[in-house]
Amino acid sequence: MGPAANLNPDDLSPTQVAVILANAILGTGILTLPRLLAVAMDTPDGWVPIMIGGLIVIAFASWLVKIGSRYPGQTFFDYSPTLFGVWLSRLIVGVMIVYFVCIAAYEVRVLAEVVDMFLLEQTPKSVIIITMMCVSAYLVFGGIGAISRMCGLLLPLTVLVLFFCFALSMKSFDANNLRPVLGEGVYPVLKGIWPSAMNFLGFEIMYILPGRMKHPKKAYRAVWYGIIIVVAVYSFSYIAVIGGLSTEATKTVTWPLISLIRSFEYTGILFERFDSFLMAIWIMQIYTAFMLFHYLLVSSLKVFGVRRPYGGAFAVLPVIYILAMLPRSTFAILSLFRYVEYLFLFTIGVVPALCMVMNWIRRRSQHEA
Amino acid sequence: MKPNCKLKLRRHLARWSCLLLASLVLPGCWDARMINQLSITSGVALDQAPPELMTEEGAVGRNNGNLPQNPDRLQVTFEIIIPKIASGMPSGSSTVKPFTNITVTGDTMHELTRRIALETNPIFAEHAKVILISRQLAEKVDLIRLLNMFYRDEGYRESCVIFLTESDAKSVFSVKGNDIPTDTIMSIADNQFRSTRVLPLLTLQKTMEKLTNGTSFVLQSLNVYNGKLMFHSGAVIDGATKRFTGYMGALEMQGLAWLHGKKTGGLVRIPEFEGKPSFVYEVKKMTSRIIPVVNGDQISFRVQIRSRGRISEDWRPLQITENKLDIERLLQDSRRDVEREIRLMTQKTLDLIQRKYQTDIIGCSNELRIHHPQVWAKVKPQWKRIFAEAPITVDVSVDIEDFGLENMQLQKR
Repeated sequence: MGPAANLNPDDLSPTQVAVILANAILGTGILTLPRLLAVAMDTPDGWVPIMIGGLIVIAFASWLVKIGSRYPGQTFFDYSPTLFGVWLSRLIVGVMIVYFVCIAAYEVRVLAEVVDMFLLEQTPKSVIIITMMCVSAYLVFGGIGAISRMCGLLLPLTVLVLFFCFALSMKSFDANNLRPVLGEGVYPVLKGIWPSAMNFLGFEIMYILPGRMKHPKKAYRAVWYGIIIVVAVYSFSYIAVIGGLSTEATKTVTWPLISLIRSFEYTGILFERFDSFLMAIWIMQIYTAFMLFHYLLVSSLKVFGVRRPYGGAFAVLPVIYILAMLPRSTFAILSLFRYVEYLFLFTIGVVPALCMVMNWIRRRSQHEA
Repeated sequence: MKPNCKLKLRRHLARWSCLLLASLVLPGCWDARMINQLSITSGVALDQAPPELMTEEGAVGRNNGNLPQNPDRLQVTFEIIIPKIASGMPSGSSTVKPFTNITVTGDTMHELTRRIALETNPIFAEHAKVILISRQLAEKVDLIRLLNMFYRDEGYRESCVIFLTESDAKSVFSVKGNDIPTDTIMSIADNQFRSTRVLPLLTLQKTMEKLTNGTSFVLQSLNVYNGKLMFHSGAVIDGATKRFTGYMGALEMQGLAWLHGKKTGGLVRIPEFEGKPSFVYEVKKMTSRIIPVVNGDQISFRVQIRSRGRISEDWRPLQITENKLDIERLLQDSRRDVEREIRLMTQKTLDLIQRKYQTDIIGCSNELRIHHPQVWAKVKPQWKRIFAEAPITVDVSVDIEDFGLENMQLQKR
């Protein structure tokens, strides 16, 4: 489908949807997932739950697409008032907004924390956060078309640099760290599924994307592609980290992937150290993840009668900022994450279920009428 | 046309003010640091403080406030590069050393790093390559505790290399000559594939990995002889106590290299044996596999060593022959001699680590963990004893590929 066939320039192709989806999911997880899995499982089999988690997430995301495809051309926030009624939809979306704000705040704070640690020690965190927010607001004004083009620009770069870093880390790779495979049976794998599924948050963007597509049915394929990219990145980063650092040592470091990339040097080629590359693309990923949550927030305000997004885009920023600056330490931020899990479950589990139920009720009442 | 003109002017104004604002804001950087205001550290040496600095009076030294008595007081020496001299110097011609050493004494590592700021520019450790630990300190203090700060602090990279020193660690930084000692160390360390006595480098990351896993390992140890730096031998670190337990001899280190099987170079000298003069076998490739055998409660290990190489020096009488049988016999003989020698060396190493040190530095525990996870979980607590008692057999098979440039009429079989 060439651009000529596209009457509306903001209509998304399945590829674009896949790219946006991958960008929304890839964020803090790249750096922390290996540690979360090492702590939760205590065995080096983390790549299994990452793949299982990916499959589960594909199922949930397809569910969102299925609900969305009933209302072609409309996002969740467009059709929810007609589905639930104004007040119920405001209640539901209100809870979702809390969740979006929490995640946005979390992403941006982790970004500030890492940048403060490794790159800009003296720069106040508030400056880093506010700068990020301004850039995000700028892109959100551009609408979904601009966002999709930005994501299309950043994702290939991210994947390229990440896999380049993983390839270089072969220098300190020891396959014995990944063995034995399933040495303690399947029980540890079950323990790893929840943390790995949690790190796929961001696929809520599928509440919006099918409504922006010309052929929403094609979104199913996009979900597969988008999430397979993420699964590949996550499982390779897990394998590189555990192979390079071993399970025990991974548990002891806060940002395992950075530690891994900092632990080797190459002499003789143009660059000796590669952590700056990793940091650069990681910051881009945090940026897109944050920006997409910002976009979700702005779109969700429609339910509350904010028609034009301009005011809303700025109105949510102070809230995110305050929430981002509230936790005192890295530790507090990472534990904040635990409370968000329930909101995550609500957003991806309870809300779609409610949609299905409401749909069913409406259809029944229509038949009876 | 007037409103259009006004709009244009306004746009111009907006553009220029944006540019002005950007030029004001962009060049500012909170984290700008002048390179000449940094102490660029290339190496850190950790020592135990001399006895006079352990008591309160002694501690009131140049760098110290009123410190209470502490027998485990640390002495840390930073080697600081002076970029001006180091860059402008054609090697060896200057009489000025391109670095200075600063020694401070105190109780914790980070405190000491900060105390430097009282004397000179603050430490900039991004380019630190080497961390030296003196044997005395490594015997007394848990290595995790010693290296903790370096591992935690984002200023030090995880790619620093850890060495042990036989003498004071700081004496390594004041060896003769004008070369930067850390550079000397790193260039000697590059000779890994020339000698089995240069061990594979252990970075900070790898060292911490071994320490947190509780695996025993060998650290390269350095020494200073007559003001010259030498790679001395291997220092065995016990994974259970995380302390230094003892050194390995030259022959035992060679045996260790064979047991590890990860090296790509090195020599084996076959000494005079039953009247046959000695010759030298140069290793091109060596591989080893440790196979754990679990038989009920009995755990034993089989080590399979394979090697390819050449005869690089021969003191036996020169033979020029075209007789296939003769060549075959000569090859068989040499091969047998080399295999015997390797078996002897590995046996020595095994004796040392099983009987004397009782530390598993060859990775038997890892193989057991991988192949028999349940057994490993059971024996893990008393691994030290079980390893010391486990029978380990070594199979060696050597393939001699060529004889260097000397014509032996060798035919490929």
